[in-house]
This record gives sequence, C-alpha cells and structure tokens, in this order.
Amino acid sequence: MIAHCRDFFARNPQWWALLLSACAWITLPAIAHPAHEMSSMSGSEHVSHALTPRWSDAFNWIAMTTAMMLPLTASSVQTVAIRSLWNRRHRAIAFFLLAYVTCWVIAGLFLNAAFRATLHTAVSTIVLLPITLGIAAVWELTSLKELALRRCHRTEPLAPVGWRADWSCIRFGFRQGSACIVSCWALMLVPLAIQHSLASMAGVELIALTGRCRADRKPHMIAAGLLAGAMLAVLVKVRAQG
Amino acid sequence: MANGLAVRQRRDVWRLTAIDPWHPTLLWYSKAVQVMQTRRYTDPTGWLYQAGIHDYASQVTPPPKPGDPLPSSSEQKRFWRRCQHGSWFFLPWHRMYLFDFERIVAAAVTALGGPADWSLPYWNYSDVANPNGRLLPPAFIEPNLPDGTPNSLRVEKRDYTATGNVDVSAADVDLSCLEDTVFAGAGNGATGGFGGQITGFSHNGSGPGGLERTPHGTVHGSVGGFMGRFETAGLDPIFWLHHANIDRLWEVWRQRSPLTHTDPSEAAWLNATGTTFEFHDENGTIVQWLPRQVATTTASPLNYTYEDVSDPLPAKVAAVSGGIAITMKNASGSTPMPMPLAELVGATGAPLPMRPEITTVEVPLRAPSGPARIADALDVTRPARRVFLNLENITGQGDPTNYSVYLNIPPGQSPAQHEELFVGSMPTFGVTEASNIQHPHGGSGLTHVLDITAVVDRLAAQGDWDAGKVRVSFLPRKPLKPGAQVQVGRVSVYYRSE
Repeated sequence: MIAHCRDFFARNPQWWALLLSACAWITLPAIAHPAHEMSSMSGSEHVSHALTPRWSDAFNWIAMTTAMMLPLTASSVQTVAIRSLWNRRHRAIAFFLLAYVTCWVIAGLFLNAAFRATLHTAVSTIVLLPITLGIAAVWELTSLKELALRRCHRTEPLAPVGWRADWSCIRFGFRQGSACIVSCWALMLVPLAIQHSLASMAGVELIALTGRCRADRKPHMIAAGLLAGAMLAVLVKVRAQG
Repeated sequence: MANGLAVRQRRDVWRLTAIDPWHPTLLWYSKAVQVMQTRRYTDPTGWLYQAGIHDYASQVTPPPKPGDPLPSSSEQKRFWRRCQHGSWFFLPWHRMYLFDFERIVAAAVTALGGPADWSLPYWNYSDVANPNGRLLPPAFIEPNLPDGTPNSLRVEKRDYTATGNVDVSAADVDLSCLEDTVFAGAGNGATGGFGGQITGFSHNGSGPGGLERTPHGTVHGSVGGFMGRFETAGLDPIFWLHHANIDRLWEVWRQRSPLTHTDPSEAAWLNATGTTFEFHDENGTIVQWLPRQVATTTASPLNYTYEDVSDPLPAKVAAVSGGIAITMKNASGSTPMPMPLAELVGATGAPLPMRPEITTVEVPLRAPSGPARIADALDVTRPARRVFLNLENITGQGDPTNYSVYLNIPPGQSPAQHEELFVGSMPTFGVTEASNIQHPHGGSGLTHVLDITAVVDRLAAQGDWDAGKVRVSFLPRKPLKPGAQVQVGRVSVYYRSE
C-alpha cells in the first residue's frame, strides 16, 4: 500500500500543486459575496465597498488564482519534474510555481485597479457582468488567444544543477504565467465582475481546463457560445427586473 | 475479397521498375498527378489542397493564382495543417491520409481510362537485396513521359543527382525500430516506443516513436527540398510512396510478433478521444476516420495488402528497445503495473549550436537517487536497466540535415573510425515548423530520445564507461545549406530500472 502511494506521488509530482489549489478552493466560499450572486442583483446596485483598494482584495485574488490557475499548470509542472534531477524536482516545481503565481499577482494588481476605476465611474455590477461575459466570449475566438494557448503548451530546456537550474525554472514559470495571463485574462474578468461568485469561478475553471486539454478550436467555440449565452441571459434578467 | 470489395495490393516501386521503368502503375500515377495539379486550390481532390492537409504555410507553398483563391479561413482551420507527428496518432493519421489520397488518384486514373485497381506503390529503401533501393526510381527523375509530355513525378526541389541519388544513407533507413515491442512508449525521458508517445492532437509533438524518427524523419531529411518540411512534403509525389512504406512497416512490425507487437488497446487511441480526423474522399465528400477503423488494412473499409511484409531483420529473438511493455503484470498476473519511471542523471546546462563539422559536448552524470537507484550504469552486474539519451528542444531554420549521434568518440578521432559508438540518428525534419510559435503547436522544437543501452553496456563491459560523464558527438550527414542552422536545447541522460 505504501509502495503504491509512493509510486503514485512519484508519477504525479504535480500532486502538491493540485493540493494547494484544492485548499484555495476551500477558502473561496468565504471570499465569495453571495449578495452579488446573479439571483440577487438589481440594476441599480452599486458596489461601493469596492471603490477603495483593500488587503482583502489581494488575498481574495491570490486565493482565486491559486485555486483556478494551478490545475492549468499540471502538465508544465510534470515537465519541470521530469526534466529535473530527482532530488531537486520539488524545489524546481516550487520555483516554477512561485514565478507563475507572481505573474498572476502582478496581473491581479492591474485587473483589480481597473475594476475599481470602472466601478468608481458608477457602473454597476449588473452592467459590468454582461460586458465581461461578452469580452470573454470574443476573446475565446481571437487568434491572440490561440497563440497564447500555444505558448502555454511550450516546453523549454532546464539547467540541471546550481543557481542556473533554479533560474531556468523561474524563467519557465514567468513565461508560462505570462502566456496564461494573455490566454485567460478575459475569462478571469467574469468572477471579478460578479464579486468572486463560486458558480462563476467554477464555470470559468471548467472552460479554461477544457481549452487547455484540447488542441482544436471546438472547446473555444463552445465556450464562446456559452459565455455569449450567459451574457444574453443576464441581459434578459436585467430587462425583466426593469 | 473482403466484405465483397476487391482487395488491392500496394507494390514495391523498385520491383515495378524492374519490370518496366514506366510500369503502368507509375505512368498512370504521373498522369493522375498532372490532372490533380490542374484542379483549383479550393478543390479537396486537388494536388495543393491535399498537400495542405499535411501542412501549409503561405511563405513556402505555391501562392494562389488570380481567380484561384485559397480555401476559406474556416475551411483551412478544419482540414489543413492536421498532420500528426511526435504522437501515437502518427501512424493511424497518415494511414487515413494515404487511403483517401489513393482513392482520389485511383478515381483520376479511372477517369483517364486507366486500370480500375490502381494502387499506390511503396518505396522500400531498406531493401538490402536491392543495390538501387536507396535511389529514387527513374520515373521520379525523368523530365518527360515516354510520349514526350512532362512528367509530373519529377520535382526540382530535391537534393538529388541525375542518377536519383538523394544521399539516403544506410543509417537513414535502419530498421531497428522494428525490434521495439511497445507501440506507445512512456515518454518522460524514455523512448516513444515504436509508434509514438501517448498524446492528444499533436501537430509536431515531442514524442516520436522509433519508426517516425528512422526511417521516416531521416528519409524526409535526406530527400530534402519539398520533402524537408511539413508544409511542402505532400507536394513531392515521392512523399506518398515514402509514407506507403512507413505504413507497410507498421504491418511488418505487427506481423513479426503478432502476440507482443500489438496496437494500443486504450479507447483514447482507438477513438482518438478529444480530437477529430477529417478528410475528403474522391468525390470531395467529407469523411471522418477513427484509428480503430484503420487498424486492419485487409478488411473493410481499407481493403488493401502489401506485396511484401516479411521480416527484414536477421532472424533473432526480438530485443527490447523501448521497454518491455507499456504495462506489465505483477506477480499474481492480474493487475497491470505501470512501466518504471525514468530518472534524469545528467544534462547540459546551455543550448548546443550544431557546427558544420562534428559537434561534441560533455554531459556530466550523477548517481541516480530516485527510482533508478539500482540502475547504476557502471555496474553491469546490477539488475537490468536501460539508458536513454534525450535530445530536447531541437530548434532551427532553413533546410537542415540529419545527424549521426555517437558516444565517447576519443578526442581527435573521426566518428568514421568508430561506427561501434553510433547510437542513432537525429533527424531534423520539421524543425523549422516546430521552432515557430506561430505554427500550430510550434515553439518547443523537436525532441528525440535514443535508447543507448547497448552501446553503454558494451562500453561498461570494456571498462570504458565513466559514470561521471559521457561525451556526445553529432555529425551532419550532409553539409548544411547556407542559412540553415540547428541547435539542441539540452542533451540529457536518463536511467530506468527494468
């Protein structure tokens, strides 16, 4: 039994990245804002509490990106482990993930700031949500998204020992992280717009994972259709609520 | 007959040539190609369209003419640039591609008044009984057909002489891949097996099987010209005979050991889960194939055989090359056990540009500390282990060549004096496309894995193996053309306990 477990963890060195993601998902209900779930939204609602930057925003963003983005790195993490000496593989993964998450934290600063600025102009969540859904739908079909996704599948040589080994993992993490941001930034606007709603995060995660696993365009066309459908549903709901 | 349909036979092009250099099969092939070349770019049964299915790039393929535009962008996305490389789909995808191409040519032959049973011949360059085997057959060199009309089988873009010598070396057509007992290798530092690594859709993936590397990749590289690039390979009529031979070698591999040389049984391979392989038949109708539908050539829908699928290797017990099996039974014989993990024991720290002459690099090695601990390569008395040389992230541009790879060539000596230290070929077919991030799935370059166990064992037995380092040398088989360059991102060594 122990031997089987050891073998499983050896073959799946990405296990602790996925464990981190799972832990982050557990914290997400605490940061989600049920008051801003679609069912309770009204056209006149403003998100006044989001007008000023808060430390909790940073925490929420890190938790959200850790939960949602680490599963996308599974294949790259495996590559890092396979291409590292056995006694360095988890260290290599740690450097890779550190760089990768740092990319998303930096991106989060800009995205959150942009959101605060937008909300400051008195645009309500109910207006923002269909806009972000529309942006995400269009982005799914662009060649820029396709190119970024291709970069997400790239591998690169890693130095085997010393500081060069650490640096090559950091560099790989930065490259993967920046490619991932270009690929997924529009999708990540959706949970931001809906104040970290769990349903939106789960939906976005599903779309991102499917797009990452398949190389053809079908999942992106389906995702674009789903996002456009969600946008229309929100617009209809808003209209019905007057 | 199978299912009421006639079973066609694909024949050896050199045996046809021995009968008549312009054997009807070749004569009608030339005429049909000519007809296909007159068809519009948008015609799925046209020559340019068929080549685009393999790959397409506007910079290197013939531009559309006035009034003859390219297919729409959505059609290109659906049907073009679909070739599968570095993947366990390499063999089934090319079989589907060839089958529909053959139907299109056969229909053109029939329409021209030719035989109804026309079949694609194959180029058996590995036939040691044929001294001309590695030369291009005359029908692919002659400028004109016997009636004086232009011969469409001749293309200028090849690296060949007037005798048809394309400098295909014996190493280029080596068939030791047939000794591999595993179709889909584990990858992850070990080889990709006979047929390639387990992947999804893979336009130029990093897990080619032994057959895809040699002779497939090496022959592409040696013929050069159109054949040297994914995007143009289908424009050379010899491409189709080359792939018919690769397809034949799949049958040879299966028949030389029917009990152990078996295709993958995983649903992901049989049904190409997660991807779709679409082509057009001779009427231009869209057809969709699954690997399980093309696994048997002699039954419907394929209905073809090869003239010769005898074992070309000297009679011996098939050695294990890429591993003993993708799964092994445990002691009770019930639960499948996964293949052991390979472990990195050493690698270079910087990319290695290839020089015009020999390029040598020393790879520092460390004692394994993980699953290969018991596989210390220095100690030949230890339990069985395998040693793999990984040539990772090979990038380049231009018309690169094939390389011969050697271990521990003594300093100052020529590899020609040490053929016993030859460990395999490094083809660079597709390297330009694989290096280009704009290309579907490009950007990472090529990766080849060589099983170097036999040479390491020999060196260890002679006391010439240093467990602390190994020298790896690369010798280009042809001079690099101006502007061509290749670099290996990393050279690494993996051990695996068996």
